[in-house]
Amino acid sequence: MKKMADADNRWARNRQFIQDYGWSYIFIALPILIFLTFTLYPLLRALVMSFQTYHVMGSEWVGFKNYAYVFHRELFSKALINTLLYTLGTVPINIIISLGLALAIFQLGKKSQTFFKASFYLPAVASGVTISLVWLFIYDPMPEGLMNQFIHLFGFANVNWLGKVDTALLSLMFLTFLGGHGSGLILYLASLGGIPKTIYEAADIDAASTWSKFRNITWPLLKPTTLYMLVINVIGSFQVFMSAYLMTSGGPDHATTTIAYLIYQDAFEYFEFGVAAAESFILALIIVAISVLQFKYMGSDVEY
Amino acid sequence: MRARKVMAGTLSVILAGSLLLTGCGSNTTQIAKEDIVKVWTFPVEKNYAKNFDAVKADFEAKNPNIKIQKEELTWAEGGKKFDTTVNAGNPPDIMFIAPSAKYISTGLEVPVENYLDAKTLADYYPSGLEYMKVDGKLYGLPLYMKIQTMGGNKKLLEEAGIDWKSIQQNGWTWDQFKQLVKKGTKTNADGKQQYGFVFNGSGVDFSELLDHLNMNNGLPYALDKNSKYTYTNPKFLDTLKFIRSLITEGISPKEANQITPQKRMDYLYSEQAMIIFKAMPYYEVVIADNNKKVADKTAPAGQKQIDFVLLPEPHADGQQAAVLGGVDGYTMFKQKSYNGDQEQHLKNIAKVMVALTSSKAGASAVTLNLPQVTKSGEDMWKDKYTMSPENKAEVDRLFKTIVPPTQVNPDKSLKAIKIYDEVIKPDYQALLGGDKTPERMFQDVQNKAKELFGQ
Repeated sequence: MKKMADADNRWARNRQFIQDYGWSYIFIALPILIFLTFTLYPLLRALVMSFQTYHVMGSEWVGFKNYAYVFHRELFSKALINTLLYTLGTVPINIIISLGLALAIFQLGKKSQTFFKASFYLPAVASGVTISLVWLFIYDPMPEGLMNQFIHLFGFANVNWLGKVDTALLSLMFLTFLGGHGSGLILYLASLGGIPKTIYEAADIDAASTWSKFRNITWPLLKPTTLYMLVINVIGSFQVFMSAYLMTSGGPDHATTTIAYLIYQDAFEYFEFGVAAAESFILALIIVAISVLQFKYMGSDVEY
Repeated sequence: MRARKVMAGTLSVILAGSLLLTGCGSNTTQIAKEDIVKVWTFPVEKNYAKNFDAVKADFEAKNPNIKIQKEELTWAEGGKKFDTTVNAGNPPDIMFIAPSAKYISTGLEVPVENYLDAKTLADYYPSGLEYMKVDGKLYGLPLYMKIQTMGGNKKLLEEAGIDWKSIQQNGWTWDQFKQLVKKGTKTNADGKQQYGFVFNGSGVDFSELLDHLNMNNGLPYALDKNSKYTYTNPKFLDTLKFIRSLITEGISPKEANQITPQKRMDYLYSEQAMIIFKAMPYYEVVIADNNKKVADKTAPAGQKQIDFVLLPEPHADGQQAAVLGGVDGYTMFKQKSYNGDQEQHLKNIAKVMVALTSSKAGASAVTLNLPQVTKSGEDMWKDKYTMSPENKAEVDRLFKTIVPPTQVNPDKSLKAIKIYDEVIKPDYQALLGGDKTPERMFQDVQNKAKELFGQ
């Protein structure tokens, strides 16, 4: 009798739980299923593949051979250096540009702010492929190319922007300076709006200069946003692929071969999926290591 | 009441689902009797979609149990899309591509000889079939014979005092080429820079000029008939020096490594290029179409009507003139997991391949101004060619100098491809851009060859 009562109670509790939370589980089931199918499974599959020589008709287990090959491979070192240079050359400058733009726009009225926010966000909406093709047109190496016509105004001869080892990577970096600030701008504007005006008023009473207010109030209070931007942008630039693929195909002389592009080449051009998977995990480890270092050394004095 | 509604709704859904499944089931049974053969192809020539559909309709009428499912790819991206499907183990049954060690290594490229009878194969000229073989095995069927060479603007050639008729008949050496073509580099009548020789060093197959000039320097292939790697020969260095000299001497633009095939044609159409590489007999058709646009004033501003002549490629002193030729055609693949009778499916694929490459399919060779690959095609189309006499004569001459194919070891071929992709292509771009000397590039190739071939 007691057992039956216990069973009834358990059933009632379960029914109540399903009534209260059932829908929640149904709603989260789909994203979890998608995550398991399209993220976790491919990730684990790639991890296994990195220890194999991949063949469509049956792969062969090779242990750490792919990793050893990657570490000794000159081209991987070159791609790593290119990616590091790209990151160092784009991330800090782009953060400074986004911050500068945000500071300038923040002074404006509501309508003007909305206009500029929309304008600067527009490239984020446009397809990266389209933007790359537009830049290919701008970097036309002939004298009639747009960029060459511009430098011609200052008396310079035409430059083979994407075709010379010295200028190819710089050209890919430069195109990021003139676009892609939308997200950073929105984040900085939101953070600027969150700084209490009373702090600036107190500084005004102390006759603080504009630079002093920026250095002692704005910059420290924007640090969480800056740290976030830094981490996200470093991750993004370590994974840069589209511009190298569409504009230079990694050339000339591998001057624009980035790690992500090398992974693509190894997998889809040379059919060396095991090597490509090993490179992917090395890239992932590098990104994790850099992110941890960023949080450790730059996040210590950040207040959220 | 509510429970009844829920029950009614549930039952309705189950009933509808059952009907749907029954319907699908019967449909599946019907489709199962048909074998669908997937064909991936390209816009091979301007009428190819129409020609393909005519062959397809004809074939399907004669073989009601086989359906051809066509997908047309772009030249720029098609190869990459195909590579992806191959590595996923699910390529199309037939692909418009030459057989390659790269695909054979996947185990999905299928030799076709077992699925074709001797009578069918006898319709194909053996010279064409040779190009569809790797290591002696036939992996596909050709659609047309092809050649790639150079071509020029007749008016500009004559203005520069170049006897193009004599060159067509007698050929020219690298030194003669430079000496003559240099005259074509000047400021043209529109005040724009005109170049004697414009070639594409960017875009699809950007390193073709190197391959062609190697052929004309006694290095027809990266691997010789004994599968020995040949690009470590000093002749390779001579070829690199010759190409670089074209740029340093102003014969070709210094921006050569950024000139795409489209830009090369723009240079030809705007009379900024006297001779272009590459050119094919089909360019006569393409350029004639553009001439019509110029006459109708629908062509971009600055473009002119061009009288186009095919020219032989120059050869190194003491070497025989050679032309890169061969065939384009269809290659047969299987999938990693095929649900059904795979042997029967492969037989059906072979049947489709024959239809897509013989007799009626020969219409494409006519449009391309190229020779037929089958006797049935020859009989059907021999009177339909409309090429200019001088270009026709040149095509006939060039076909006599085509380099025959070699059958090499697929593993060594993969290594040669790796050297080409990882070293030669990127170095070649740097060579064109002036960032790498011919000697340095040659050294890089030697180093990689030593690493992979031990030579």
